[in-house]
Amino acid sequence: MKAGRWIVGILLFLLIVFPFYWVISSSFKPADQILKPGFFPTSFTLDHYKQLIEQTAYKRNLLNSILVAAATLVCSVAVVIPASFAIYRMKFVGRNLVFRLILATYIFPGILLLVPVYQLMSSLHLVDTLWALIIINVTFAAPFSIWLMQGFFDSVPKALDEAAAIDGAGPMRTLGSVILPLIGPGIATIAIYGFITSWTEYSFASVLITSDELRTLPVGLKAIMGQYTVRWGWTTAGAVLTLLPVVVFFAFVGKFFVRGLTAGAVK
Amino acid sequence: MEFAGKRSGWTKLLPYALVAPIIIWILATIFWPLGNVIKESFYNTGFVGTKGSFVGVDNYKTVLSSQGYWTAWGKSLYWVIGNSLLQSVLAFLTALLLNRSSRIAQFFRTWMIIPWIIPTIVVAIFWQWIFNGSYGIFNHALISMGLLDKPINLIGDSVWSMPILIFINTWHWFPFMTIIVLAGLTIIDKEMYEAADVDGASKWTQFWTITFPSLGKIMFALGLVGTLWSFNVFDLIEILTGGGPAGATTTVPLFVYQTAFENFHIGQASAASIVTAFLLLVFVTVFIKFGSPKDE
Repeated sequence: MKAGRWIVGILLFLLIVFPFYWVISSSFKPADQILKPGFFPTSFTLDHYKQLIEQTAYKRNLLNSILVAAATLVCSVAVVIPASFAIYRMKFVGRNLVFRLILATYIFPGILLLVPVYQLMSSLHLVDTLWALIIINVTFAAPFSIWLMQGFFDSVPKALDEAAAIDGAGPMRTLGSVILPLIGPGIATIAIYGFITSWTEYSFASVLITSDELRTLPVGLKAIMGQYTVRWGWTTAGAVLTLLPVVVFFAFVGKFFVRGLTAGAVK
Repeated sequence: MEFAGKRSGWTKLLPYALVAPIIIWILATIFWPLGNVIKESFYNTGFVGTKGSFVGVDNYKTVLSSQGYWTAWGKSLYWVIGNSLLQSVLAFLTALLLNRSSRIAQFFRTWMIIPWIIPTIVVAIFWQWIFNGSYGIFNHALISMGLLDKPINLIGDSVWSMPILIFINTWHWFPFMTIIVLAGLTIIDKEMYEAADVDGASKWTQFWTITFPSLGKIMFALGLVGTLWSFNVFDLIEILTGGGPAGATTTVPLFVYQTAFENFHIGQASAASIVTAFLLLVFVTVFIKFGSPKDE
């Protein structure tokens, strides 16, 4: 029984880790070795990374991705925190309706909106601007973030709100000076969720952006890969650099993120 | 007194002011476009950005009688069922392994979610590189073990592409499902088991009276949201196969995308979207009606 657990555990571990190992190790192999399936690399080079940065649009793509992700993060936190405060801490007519409306959006097939969102952005003259991506990324990040916030708001005792009210603090004061300081990890979690949603988004970025210099990383990386002859050195190096920021961020807030997911899930 | 009255009036409006930004955002970017899809479905618009003329229900007739659309539904069912089964198995295995308070379990609980948070394009590159028909380590391993005599391009194979894509998507998503199952397992109050022990209930009875009913709600949510999320997957398939080879992986989202952006029939794509959304709504209603766990 115990051995069984270990075997299943190791297999699952390998399933998750192997692709990372394989792509990362490939990205450091010299061009004449990368196509050979040597499990342990024998030599090491940074050539692919250098070429990727010097000869492709990688830097430009990276900058675009950072701009869009940072703006998405800020906007998403700015709309989610007040809304969560109202939904989880206040009683008002239509509260359930608002909550359901928000829930409905994250199960709605986003792809069915590809055409009309394109038309919407086009009528606002936002096609081929980074604003279009920021707007749509917030749409996809915010509803789930509200769900994530539930656990964090619940962790602050309602008695604190009441105490603040007795002391004469209005709701906004209560939010600002009592609740916000206590839900720091929650804010970090939804900030990262907004960042990751934006960092990962491919479908809308590939349709709403038409010029090469405004491409974000996922779409740019697809272009770098090429259609028929894939340059695996660049591709693997690009993949590593694209996942790196996500992993670094996660190292800081991963714990809170998973805790937030868990707390939201059981409601 | 007047001041207090004003203040309470303001306080009453405050929650609406707080939820207004997100509601406006959602209405503008989801519901307004949705209204537009309904409108376009009655027009014969071709290219994105052009204006078509009113054609009544022609688009709906075309879509409902189009073999491509229903074939895509067949592929989507294959895709959704395959993903649900594989993800459930992996998620339960992982969750049961990690449902303990040891330090290692806590560490892996956080880090095993990594495949879910990395960009889809990276997931696609990972597995395209591993399954590559000419240089992939997977083919190489099978050949050196004598299981295969010449390399095959699994992702580009008309039979294998679908199961392989299901596997890749499962790799991307099962960590999220694991977290949800773990959440369900950890919420079960240990005191309930202790109380059951005191009452002399067997572990078997405890599983059926405590664990299973407690997971019912989570499984229901997971079944509903997971199915819809799987159904919606577009980017991974588009990046890996673009719906090919020869339509082998053209699920409904791919079909809608191709109709709109490759064949330039916005009107038909809109009608297909509406029909799809309607069928999903039927699924959700039926699922909630018959699948919803009874309140304990």
